[in-house]
Amino acid sequence: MKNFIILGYGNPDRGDDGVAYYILNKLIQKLAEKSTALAEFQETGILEINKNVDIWYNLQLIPEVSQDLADYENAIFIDAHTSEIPDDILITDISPHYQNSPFTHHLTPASCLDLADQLFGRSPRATLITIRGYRFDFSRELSPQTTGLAEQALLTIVDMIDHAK
Amino acid sequence: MTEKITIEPVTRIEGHAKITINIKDDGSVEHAYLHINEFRGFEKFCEGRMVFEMPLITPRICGICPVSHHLASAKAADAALGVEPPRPASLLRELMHMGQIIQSHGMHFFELAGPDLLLGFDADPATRNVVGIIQANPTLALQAVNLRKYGQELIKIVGGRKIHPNFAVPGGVNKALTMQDRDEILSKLDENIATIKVGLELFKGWAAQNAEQIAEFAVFSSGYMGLVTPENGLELYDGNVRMVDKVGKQLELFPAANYLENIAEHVEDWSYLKFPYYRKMGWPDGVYRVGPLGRLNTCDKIDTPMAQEEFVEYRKMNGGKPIENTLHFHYARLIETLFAAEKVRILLEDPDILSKEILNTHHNYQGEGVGIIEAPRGTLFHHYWVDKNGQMEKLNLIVATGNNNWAMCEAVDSVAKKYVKGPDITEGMLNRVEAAVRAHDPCLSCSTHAVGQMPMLVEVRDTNGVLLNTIKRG
Repeated sequence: MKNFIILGYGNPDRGDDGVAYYILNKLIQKLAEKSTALAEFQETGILEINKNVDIWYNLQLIPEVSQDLADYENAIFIDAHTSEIPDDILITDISPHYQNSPFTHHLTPASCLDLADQLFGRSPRATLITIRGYRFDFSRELSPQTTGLAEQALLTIVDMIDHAK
Repeated sequence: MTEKITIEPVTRIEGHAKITINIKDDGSVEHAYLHINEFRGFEKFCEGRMVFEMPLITPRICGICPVSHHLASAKAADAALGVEPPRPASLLRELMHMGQIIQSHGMHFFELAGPDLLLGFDADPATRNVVGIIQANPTLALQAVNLRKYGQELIKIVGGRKIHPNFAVPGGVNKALTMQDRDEILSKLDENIATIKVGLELFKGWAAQNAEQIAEFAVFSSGYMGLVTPENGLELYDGNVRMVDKVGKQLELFPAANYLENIAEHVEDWSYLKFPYYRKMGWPDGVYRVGPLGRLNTCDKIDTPMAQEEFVEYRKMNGGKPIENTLHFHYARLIETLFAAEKVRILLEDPDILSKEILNTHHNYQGEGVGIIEAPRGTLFHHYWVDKNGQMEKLNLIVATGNNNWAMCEAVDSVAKKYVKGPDITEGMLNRVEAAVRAHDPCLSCSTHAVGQMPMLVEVRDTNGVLLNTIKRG
């Protein structure tokens, strides 16, 4: 069984909603064992960046990711958050729990874990790290505030991976 | 005294929707409104961009149906630049589109609609979801996940990416299909057709046991619109637009370029989303529905055998006239999914599908072009005005959810009047109101999805605006 999967989601064309995409790129630069990893980082599912860590990116969470989740000991979900949450960086342990989305095809990390449990028999220990977003307009740039927070979150994630070894 | 109840799934940035229910003194519903605050800035954002970039930019409107925007955009660019894609390229575009239909429809039925239907509108919300379905039928649940995965993998194999495809370009596509790709897609087709058929049988079994509910849940007359083949068969990728009236009589049959002659948009001060209608009948007589229900009411047949068999049975329900029941959006959606799967085989067995002649580079500049496609949730229009340098001067988009705006509002009002009594709204009542929207599979908030959504709020207010009751959901 593999150790870590880091899952990022959000729209990199909508400003700070792309914070997970930004962090995953930085993680590749920091941890990847092969030089082509950054070039291979496309929206095509799981990418192994070293023997300990795989990453996954998509615009949104999707049900079939539950099958992948069942193959890992640990999962870290990365997303942006908005002003209702007081913390600039929120780190939360999450448990499998299906949450309904009244109108849309939207899934939460807890829902994906629940699907992994129910369909594939197990789910990883999981943490959700969310970073405050300030601007969500049409832009591929993060705001300066979110960029700073993303760098802090990056260090936290690397630390979590190191401590789990 | 009239009381106002507001149901508000407070999403963020764009796609904000809420439902307001006005309650009269006797507890009955005076009127219910669905308000949509759909972001329309995208059109402005695209002005000045190069037309060949548009199939890459416009899919970023949406994470749920990027392929539909991608292909509609490429078709509009074809028309504006005066370039006809070679036949193999059109086949490959259509194949990718079938992947989109399969994954989107599959997810909608099993994830969003299925729990209501299979577990009941009044079931405990803690289990009235896909997990409840897993517990009730684990094999089916796994098949459902695999069905969506199949659609996504098809898109990836054909286009190279699951989302934000860069496959279709003005004049064709940039990647041919290999024999290995074709065989891989074909190898898993039968098992997924079997899953769709299980879904159809489940729906029909549920419908047989819930005929009364189907007959009273948001049933109303309207016109209908959808693409059709030259023989008025169901068409999802290309063709003329057909509009029929409430009894199925043809109102119009027109090519994409003529859509502005036939469609106008009405504005209400309580919604940010416009209400398209059939121009010649005026507002509100010209209101119509799109999406699976609209399409199966617009066409006369389906050109694939299994879906046609289902279509004949489906249309018999109202003696061959249009089906008006909102809950039959689900039935129609499953028939379309079967059609899309059958179409995958037809396309893959076409001798041209492996051809390397996939791009026409001979342009004949027209300056203006319209691309229309049937997105999973309805007819999608891209209209581009392009200068001689290929730069976008302006564009107009009518998205599928916009085309169903009136229908969703009408469905919400109808269901609220039927099921809501007084300010003390039960979970089952609320779920039915939501289900009236959900049946249309709207795309309300798909471009951004950050954590921080507030739960759905139900507010009861008196005529002075004083808050009497609040219910939180989600």
